[in-house]
Amino acid sequence: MIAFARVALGAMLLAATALATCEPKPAFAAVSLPATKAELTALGRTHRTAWDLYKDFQSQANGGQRLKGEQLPDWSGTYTRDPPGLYFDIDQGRNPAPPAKLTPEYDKRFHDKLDRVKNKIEFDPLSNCAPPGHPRWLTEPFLREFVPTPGTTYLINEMVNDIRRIYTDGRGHVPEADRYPLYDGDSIGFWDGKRLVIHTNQLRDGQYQRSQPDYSDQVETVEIWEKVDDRHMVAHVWVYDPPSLVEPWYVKQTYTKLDDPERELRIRYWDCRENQNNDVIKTDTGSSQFRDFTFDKATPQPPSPASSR
Amino acid sequence: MTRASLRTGSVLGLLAALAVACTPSSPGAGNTPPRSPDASTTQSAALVPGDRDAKVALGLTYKSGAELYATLKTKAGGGAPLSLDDMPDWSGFWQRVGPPLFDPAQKPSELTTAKLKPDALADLQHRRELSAQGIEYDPLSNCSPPGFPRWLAIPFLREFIVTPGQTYLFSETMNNLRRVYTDGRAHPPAADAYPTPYGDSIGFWTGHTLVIHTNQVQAGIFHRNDPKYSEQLDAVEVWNKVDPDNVVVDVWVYDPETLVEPWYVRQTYKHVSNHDGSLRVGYWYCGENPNNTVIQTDKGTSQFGDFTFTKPGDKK
Repeated sequence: MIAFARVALGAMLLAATALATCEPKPAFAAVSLPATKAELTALGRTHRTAWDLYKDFQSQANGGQRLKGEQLPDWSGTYTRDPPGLYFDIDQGRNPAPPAKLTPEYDKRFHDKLDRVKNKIEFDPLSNCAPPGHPRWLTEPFLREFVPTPGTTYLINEMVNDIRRIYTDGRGHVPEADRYPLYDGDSIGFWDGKRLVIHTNQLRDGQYQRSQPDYSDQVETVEIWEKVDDRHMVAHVWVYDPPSLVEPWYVKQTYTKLDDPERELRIRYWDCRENQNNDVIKTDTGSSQFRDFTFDKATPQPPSPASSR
Repeated sequence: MTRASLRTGSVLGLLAALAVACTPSSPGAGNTPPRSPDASTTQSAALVPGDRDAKVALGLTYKSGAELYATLKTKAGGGAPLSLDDMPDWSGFWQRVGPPLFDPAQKPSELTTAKLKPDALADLQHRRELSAQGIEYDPLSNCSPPGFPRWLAIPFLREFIVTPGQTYLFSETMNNLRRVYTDGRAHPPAADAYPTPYGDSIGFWTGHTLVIHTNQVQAGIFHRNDPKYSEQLDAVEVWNKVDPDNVVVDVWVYDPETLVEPWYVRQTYKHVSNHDGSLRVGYWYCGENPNNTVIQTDKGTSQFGDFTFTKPGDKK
């Protein structure tokens, strides 16, 4: 009996050691998300800022988790935004304006823009190889990769080699004194089960897309990213921008994994300025125009006045 | 056997099952002893010799990067996929150590350590003479990517992002991201291959050592004041984190058009301190000032395109 007790004690110690060294498997997501767009929109309205919403999610998730090894979700593969189209809010449908509630100033700016577009007057900074910036980043076409690692998740868009870094190692945003607006801002996050919750600030002003409203450099977002099945990534997004939005704008973005059975699909370097003659400039009328160029060897060419075209 | 001992046996069985349930579930991981910190170096030493001359000699044994890579892969038993619970930690920011030359071991008195074919040698000598007169054009001035293998030698911050099927080698300059596929795929079929700035990279892991083969590159230069290379270039790299602060890469470059023999170089990347986590890599928008178009003149030098600090329409 004594010998048996010794064996039992040894086994218990072994199991206790195993339990102590066992990495906790990620729990189910603690944050309870409502099912409908109306409810998700209403959830955004219950918080004054994106930071408030983020902190609420973090509190619900008991601070969130730091995943590593097999705890990390498998988001490998190459994705593209679904459905194709350039609206920030896929529920815009055939309407000329999105469902966002714009402030009077930004509503006017938006309708002025639509009027210009009707007259074929448009300038997109992307024409000159500028990055789209976040939150427009969410809506761009082309290929994407989502790469979770223990301390940082990389959200990669093929277009202009645009990489967002989400720091999940517990760091905060950079100190106030060191902040300045950036194309993709500053993103920190935490894991809630296999969902990634992100807060982004320090953004430059921009537009959600061509023929879409503008946002200011006070824009901030909260995103919850999740792989909902083998082929689809979903991002729930709440955008807060007091100068341009009367209330937070909730949108859902979906990205579909591309079939690549022979593993021949590659993402290559996006050399936006490959043809150095192809400088696109913004004219006085607000339109786009190529700078003067020839197909001969590059020599300095005095640019012609915009009105000569 | 008594009922009590059966019950105790069941408890023991449950405890054992519990213990088993907590062990890593990746293939083979449960049978693998913990890896010692220097396992990577040991694996590398077994794969390639430690001495520089012996590494140079190793390169000479093969006609192409593809041959050297195939041999190393055979020697490594085909390599082994990374286990999620035994991933090398290459996280953080890194910066290259050494002068702005492809071979950090090159002496100031040397033109290059590469053994060049006559045309490539004449080209290098000509460009060095022009450079001495202040005449130089670097495609980077116009926001072109440095391309591989020059990527290995450029400055600024880097990240090495390891995942089971793919390793991303990032350089802050122009947001350069090399993708190294380690999921067992081959290079694209010849019919689909064409030169790109970073070529096509496949690799395998042996322990915590990453071995890479790259081909399909565009022609370029190894660095300013360094030789040119052709699109026939292919290269083998052996990457190792040799200690917490240093990632070291052995590189063998083959280019039958410009090199008499493979060029072996060793690159080192040092960990950049980031104690408070406030260091960030931002988007590198090379064309931020659209007026700053840099063009190559007839003389071969660089020059800004005409510009003023007023609106484009004001230019006369």
